[in-house]
Amino acid sequence: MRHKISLASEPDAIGPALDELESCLIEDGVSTEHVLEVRLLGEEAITNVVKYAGAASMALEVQVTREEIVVVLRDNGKPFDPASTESPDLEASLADRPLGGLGIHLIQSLSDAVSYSREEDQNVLRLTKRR
Amino acid sequence: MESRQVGDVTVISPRGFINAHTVRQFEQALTQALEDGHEKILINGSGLAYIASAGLGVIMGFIEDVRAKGGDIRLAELNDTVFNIFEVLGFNHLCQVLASEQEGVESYQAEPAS
Repeated sequence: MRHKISLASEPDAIGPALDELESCLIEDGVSTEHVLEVRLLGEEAITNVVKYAGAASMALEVQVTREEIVVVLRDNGKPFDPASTESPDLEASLADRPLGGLGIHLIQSLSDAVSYSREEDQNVLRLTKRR
Repeated sequence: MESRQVGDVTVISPRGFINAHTVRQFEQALTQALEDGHEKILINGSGLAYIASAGLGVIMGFIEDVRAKGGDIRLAELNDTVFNIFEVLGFNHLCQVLASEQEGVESYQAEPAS
Protein backbone atom coordinates (compact mmCIF):
# COMPACT_ATOMS: atom_id res chain seq x y z
CA MET A 1 0.00 0.00 0.00
CA ARG A 2 1.18 3.52 -0.70
CA HIS A 3 0.27 6.44 1.54
CA LYS A 4 1.08 10.13 1.30
CA ILE A 5 1.20 12.53 4.23
CA SER A 6 1.73 16.26 3.68
CA LEU A 7 2.90 18.53 6.45
CA ALA A 8 4.10 22.04 7.12
CA SER A 9 7.74 22.42 8.12
CA GLU A 10 7.05 23.40 11.73
CA PRO A 11 7.49 21.64 15.08
CA ASP A 12 3.76 21.32 15.83
CA ALA A 13 3.19 19.41 12.60
CA ILE A 14 5.62 16.61 13.48
CA GLY A 15 3.52 14.71 16.04
CA PRO A 16 0.30 14.49 13.99
CA ALA A 17 2.25 13.44 10.86
CA LEU A 18 4.00 10.68 12.81
CA ASP A 19 0.69 9.50 14.28
CA GLU A 20 -0.65 9.28 10.73
CA LEU A 21 2.45 7.39 9.59
CA GLU A 22 2.00 4.96 12.48
CA SER A 23 -1.68 4.40 11.57
CA CYS A 24 -0.73 3.64 7.96
CA LEU A 25 1.89 1.09 9.06
CA ILE A 26 -0.51 -0.61 11.49
CA GLU A 27 -3.19 -0.68 8.79
CA ASP A 28 -0.71 -2.43 6.51
CA GLY A 29 0.01 -5.12 9.09
CA VAL A 30 3.56 -4.04 10.02
CA SER A 31 4.87 -5.52 13.31
CA THR A 32 4.96 -3.32 16.41
CA GLU A 33 8.76 -3.28 16.51
CA HIS A 34 9.00 -2.16 12.88
CA VAL A 35 6.19 0.38 13.35
CA LEU A 36 8.19 2.02 16.15
CA GLU A 37 11.48 1.89 14.26
CA VAL A 38 9.97 3.40 11.11
CA ARG A 39 8.17 6.05 13.18
CA LEU A 40 11.52 6.91 14.77
CA LEU A 41 13.22 7.06 11.35
CA GLY A 42 10.45 9.38 10.16
CA GLU A 43 10.75 11.49 13.28
CA GLU A 44 14.52 11.98 12.93
CA ALA A 45 14.25 12.79 9.23
CA ILE A 46 11.34 15.23 9.63
CA THR A 47 12.93 16.88 12.68
CA ASN A 48 16.12 17.50 10.71
CA VAL A 49 14.16 19.19 7.93
CA VAL A 50 12.15 21.33 10.38
CA LYS A 51 15.29 22.37 12.28
CA TYR A 52 17.80 22.91 9.52
CA ALA A 53 16.38 22.90 5.98
CA GLY A 54 14.35 26.11 6.00
CA ALA A 55 11.71 24.32 3.93
CA ALA A 56 8.16 25.62 3.55
CA SER A 57 6.55 22.24 3.34
CA MET A 58 7.30 18.57 2.99
CA ALA A 59 5.62 15.33 2.10
CA LEU A 60 6.12 11.85 3.44
CA GLU A 61 5.33 8.84 1.32
CA VAL A 62 5.26 5.38 2.75
CA GLN A 63 5.02 2.17 0.80
CA VAL A 64 4.71 -1.21 2.46
CA THR A 65 5.40 -4.39 0.53
CA ARG A 66 5.85 -7.93 1.78
CA GLU A 67 9.62 -7.48 1.86
CA GLU A 68 10.17 -3.91 2.97
CA ILE A 69 8.90 -0.56 4.18
CA VAL A 70 10.04 2.43 2.14
CA VAL A 71 9.67 5.95 3.45
CA VAL A 72 10.35 8.84 1.08
CA LEU A 73 10.60 12.35 2.50
CA ARG A 74 10.53 15.28 0.09
CA ASP A 75 11.14 18.87 1.17
CA ASN A 76 11.80 22.10 -0.66
CA GLY A 77 14.52 23.31 1.70
CA LYS A 78 18.28 23.77 1.32
CA PRO A 79 20.11 20.88 -0.33
CA PHE A 80 21.30 18.45 2.31
CA ASP A 81 22.50 14.90 1.87
CA PRO A 82 22.33 13.00 5.18
CA ALA A 83 23.70 9.90 3.48
CA SER A 84 27.06 11.67 3.04
CA THR A 85 27.43 12.73 6.66
CA GLU A 86 30.16 10.99 8.62
CA SER A 87 29.07 8.93 11.58
CA PRO A 88 30.08 10.27 14.98
CA ASP A 89 32.88 8.33 16.63
CA LEU A 90 31.04 6.38 19.31
CA GLU A 91 34.24 4.73 20.50
CA ALA A 92 35.63 8.14 21.44
CA SER A 93 35.83 9.13 25.07
CA LEU A 94 32.73 10.78 26.49
CA ALA A 95 34.29 14.23 26.40
CA ASP A 96 35.08 13.86 22.69
CA ARG A 97 31.67 12.60 21.64
CA PRO A 98 29.73 15.12 19.61
CA LEU A 99 26.24 15.96 20.82
CA GLY A 100 24.98 16.71 17.31
CA GLY A 101 24.77 14.33 14.40
CA LEU A 102 23.16 11.58 16.44
CA GLY A 103 19.89 11.80 14.55
CA ILE A 104 21.55 11.19 11.20
CA HIS A 105 23.66 8.40 12.66
CA LEU A 106 20.48 6.86 14.01
CA ILE A 107 18.84 7.07 10.55
CA GLN A 108 21.88 5.45 8.93
CA SER A 109 22.10 2.73 11.57
CA LEU A 110 18.44 1.77 11.82
CA SER A 111 17.71 1.84 8.05
CA ASP A 112 18.70 -1.02 5.78
CA ALA A 113 19.26 1.50 2.98
CA VAL A 114 19.44 5.29 2.82
CA SER A 115 19.56 7.20 -0.45
CA TYR A 116 19.39 10.88 -1.25
CA SER A 117 18.78 12.82 -4.43
CA ARG A 118 18.13 16.43 -5.31
CA GLU A 119 15.22 16.57 -7.74
CA GLU A 120 14.52 20.04 -9.15
CA ASP A 121 14.18 22.15 -5.99
CA GLN A 122 13.53 19.26 -3.64
CA ASN A 123 15.54 17.06 -1.30
CA VAL A 124 14.38 13.47 -1.69
CA LEU A 125 15.43 11.15 1.11
CA ARG A 126 14.53 7.49 0.75
CA LEU A 127 14.77 5.18 3.75
CA THR A 128 14.27 1.45 3.39
CA LYS A 129 13.59 -0.92 6.25
CA ARG A 130 13.41 -4.66 5.57
CA ARG A 131 10.52 -6.47 7.24
CA MET B 1 7.01 11.33 33.69
CA GLU B 2 6.99 9.51 37.02
CA SER B 3 10.00 9.86 39.32
CA ARG B 4 10.32 8.03 42.65
CA GLN B 5 12.94 6.90 45.15
CA VAL B 6 13.77 3.25 45.72
CA GLY B 7 16.26 3.47 48.57
CA ASP B 8 18.90 5.90 47.34
CA VAL B 9 18.14 5.22 43.66
CA THR B 10 15.96 7.65 41.71
CA VAL B 11 13.79 5.69 39.29
CA ILE B 12 12.50 7.76 36.37
CA SER B 13 9.76 6.13 34.27
CA PRO B 14 9.12 7.92 30.97
CA ARG B 15 5.91 7.14 29.08
CA GLY B 16 5.54 6.97 25.31
CA PHE B 17 8.25 8.74 23.34
CA ILE B 18 11.28 10.69 24.45
CA ASN B 19 11.69 12.96 21.46
CA ALA B 20 12.23 16.62 20.58
CA HIS B 21 8.70 17.33 21.81
CA THR B 22 8.99 15.66 25.24
CA VAL B 23 12.72 15.84 25.92
CA ARG B 24 12.39 18.87 28.18
CA GLN B 25 10.36 16.85 30.71
CA PHE B 26 13.04 14.16 30.67
CA GLU B 27 15.74 16.78 31.15
CA GLN B 28 13.77 18.34 34.03
CA ALA B 29 13.37 14.97 35.77
CA LEU B 30 17.16 14.46 35.61
CA THR B 31 17.87 18.03 36.72
CA GLN B 32 15.47 17.66 39.65
CA ALA B 33 17.12 14.42 40.80
CA LEU B 34 20.54 16.08 40.78
CA GLU B 35 19.23 19.19 42.56
CA ASP B 36 17.81 16.91 45.24
CA GLY B 37 21.25 15.35 45.65
CA HIS B 38 20.32 12.04 44.01
CA GLU B 39 22.99 10.88 41.63
CA LYS B 40 22.07 7.21 41.32
CA ILE B 41 19.58 7.27 38.49
CA LEU B 42 17.72 4.41 36.87
CA ILE B 43 15.53 4.93 33.81
CA ASN B 44 12.76 2.34 33.83
CA GLY B 45 11.90 1.90 30.14
CA SER B 46 8.87 -0.37 30.58
CA GLY B 47 6.51 2.40 29.41
CA LEU B 48 8.90 3.83 26.82
CA ALA B 49 8.02 3.29 23.15
CA TYR B 50 11.29 4.76 21.88
CA ILE B 51 13.96 7.31 22.57
CA ALA B 52 14.93 9.66 19.74
CA SER B 53 18.31 11.35 19.29
CA ALA B 54 17.14 14.35 21.35
CA GLY B 55 16.76 12.08 24.39
CA LEU B 56 20.03 10.26 23.76
CA GLY B 57 21.74 13.64 23.58
CA VAL B 58 20.37 14.49 27.04
CA ILE B 59 21.75 11.25 28.51
CA MET B 60 25.13 12.02 26.92
CA GLY B 61 24.96 15.55 28.29
CA PHE B 62 24.22 14.46 31.86
CA ILE B 63 26.18 11.28 32.32
CA GLU B 64 29.62 12.82 32.84
CA ASP B 65 28.34 15.20 35.52
CA VAL B 66 26.47 12.44 37.27
CA ARG B 67 29.52 10.15 37.22
CA ALA B 68 31.77 12.94 38.46
CA LYS B 69 29.48 13.12 41.50
CA GLY B 70 29.84 9.40 42.13
CA GLY B 71 26.54 8.40 40.52
CA ASP B 72 25.43 6.99 37.21
CA ILE B 73 22.56 6.79 34.74
CA ARG B 74 21.47 3.21 34.10
CA LEU B 75 18.52 1.78 32.22
CA ALA B 76 16.25 -1.17 32.73
CA GLU B 77 13.28 -2.93 31.14
CA LEU B 78 13.90 -1.57 27.64
CA ASN B 79 11.66 -2.86 24.86
CA ASP B 80 13.27 -4.44 21.77
CA THR B 81 13.10 -1.19 19.79
CA VAL B 82 14.89 0.88 22.44
CA PHE B 83 17.41 -1.88 23.11
CA ASN B 84 18.13 -2.08 19.39
CA ILE B 85 18.63 1.70 19.21
CA PHE B 86 21.09 1.48 22.08
CA GLU B 87 22.96 -1.34 20.43
CA VAL B 88 23.26 0.12 16.94
CA LEU B 89 24.42 3.45 18.35
CA GLY B 90 26.84 1.88 20.81
CA PHE B 91 25.01 3.31 23.82
CA ASN B 92 25.12 -0.08 25.48
CA HIS B 93 28.88 0.60 25.93
CA LEU B 94 28.13 4.02 27.38
CA CYS B 95 25.39 3.06 29.85
CA GLN B 96 24.65 -0.10 31.78
CA VAL B 97 21.40 -1.71 30.67
CA LEU B 98 19.75 -4.09 33.15
CA ALA B 99 16.93 -6.54 32.56
CA SER B 100 14.66 -5.41 35.40
CA GLU B 101 14.16 -2.45 37.71
CA GLN B 102 15.11 -4.66 40.64
CA GLU B 103 18.40 -5.60 38.97
CA GLY B 104 19.01 -1.94 38.22
CA VAL B 105 18.47 -0.91 41.85
CA GLU B 106 20.60 -3.83 43.08
CA SER B 107 23.41 -2.90 40.69
CA TYR B 108 23.87 0.30 42.71
CA GLN B 109 23.58 -1.47 46.06
CA ALA B 110 26.33 -3.89 45.06
CA GLU B 111 28.77 -0.99 44.93
CA PRO B 112 30.62 0.43 47.92
CA ALA B 113 29.12 3.72 49.14
CA SER B 114 30.86 6.70 47.57
